Amino acid sequence: MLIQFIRWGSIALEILLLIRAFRSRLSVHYPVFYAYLGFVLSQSLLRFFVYQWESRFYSPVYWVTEFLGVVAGCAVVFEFCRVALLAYPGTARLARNLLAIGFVLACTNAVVAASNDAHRWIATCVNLERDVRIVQALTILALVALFLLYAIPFGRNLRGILIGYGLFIGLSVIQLAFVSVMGNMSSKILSYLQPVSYAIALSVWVGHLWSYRSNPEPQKTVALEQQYARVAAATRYRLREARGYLEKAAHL
Amino acid sequence: MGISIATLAAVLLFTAIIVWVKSTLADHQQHFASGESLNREDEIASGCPAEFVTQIFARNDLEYVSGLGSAQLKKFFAQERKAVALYWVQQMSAQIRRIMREHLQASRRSRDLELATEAGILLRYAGLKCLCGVLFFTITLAGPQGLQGLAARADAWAQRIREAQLGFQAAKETGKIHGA
Repeated sequence: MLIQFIRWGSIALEILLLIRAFRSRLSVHYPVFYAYLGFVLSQSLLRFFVYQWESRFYSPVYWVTEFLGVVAGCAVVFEFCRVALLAYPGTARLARNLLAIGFVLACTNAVVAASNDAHRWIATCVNLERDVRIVQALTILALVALFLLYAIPFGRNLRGILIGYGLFIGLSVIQLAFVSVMGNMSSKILSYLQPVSYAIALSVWVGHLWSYRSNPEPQKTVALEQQYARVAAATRYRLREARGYLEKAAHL
Repeated sequence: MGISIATLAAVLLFTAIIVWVKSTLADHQQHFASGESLNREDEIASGCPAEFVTQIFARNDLEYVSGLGSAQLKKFFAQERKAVALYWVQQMSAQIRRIMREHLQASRRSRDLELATEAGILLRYAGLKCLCGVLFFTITLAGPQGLQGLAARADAWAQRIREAQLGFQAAKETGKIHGA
């Protein structure tokens, strides 16, 4: 009963988010994120109808839509980078490289895992999804580290998207790890945890994406911003000077 | 194995998100920071003259105080010098942090940001912060004057290792010649 309430509650939240997106024109600013939400909504409804009328197709439909969801999730992270780092072309390039490395790793891992264990396809699917989610979690982690390092300022909308998606991915990783180890024993826990974690993410999104808030504009610095080589050389020189100063103190 | 990696990844992700949210909120509050606090940061990071630093770590003042024969005065002097030396290390650390912050602020908008250069600068920064940590730890343990002794001992060890290495290489080359 409770689980049904959470599931239908999540669908209601998704519909609310999509309505708000069109009303406050958020969908224009974050098209991939709202396409992802639309996909998850249609996925939930499709699974429900297949389960009700053609339950023998439920398992393949579940796994196919699950993997499409994982791929769509990767696109959300790419969009996040694109919007957040619009004013920072160099940092955006670094982030894109990080993401590309992460997703190549995920795909390679998926192919290797699938070819090793092709006969137990449900276990393979769980392991595969877990591994891809771990790589996604690490990629988001690397991105957050990059944002922290370069002190990239964020608006309320983008912060909400990343917090919600990060929480969802983190909880999914833990759940999938327990499923792959404990098997059916954990399926009952999973049947509660997965919808609950998604409902938490949706609540965060509703709170942060009620209306459009633009990203803070970076403060314009001097013309130095285009001359990276000069900036790097000056920093290296200043750090070397500081090192000399410290070493002198140590060797007095 | 799977569970531990997954849990570690998830915990790291949650921690990073919490740190990130805290830092973005702190940035927001920093816009309203008083001029006084900013001036204080500048003052801390501005550094002190080289001759002053030389004097903090020099032995002659300690020798002079020791010559006066008062144990209490010597103890008081050592405490004061340690406090000043530790403050100087903190000042240097703040200065290095400011250099890095200025670099990141200037470079984050550059079109031609290079991963290798950035990684090199980051490593150099990490090395300097480590050096500050080591200095702080050593001064806390041995005092600023003790640094001189430690550095001399480290130099002597390094010299001995270099000599041993040279001797070993020479012996190896002689062996090769004889072997041939």
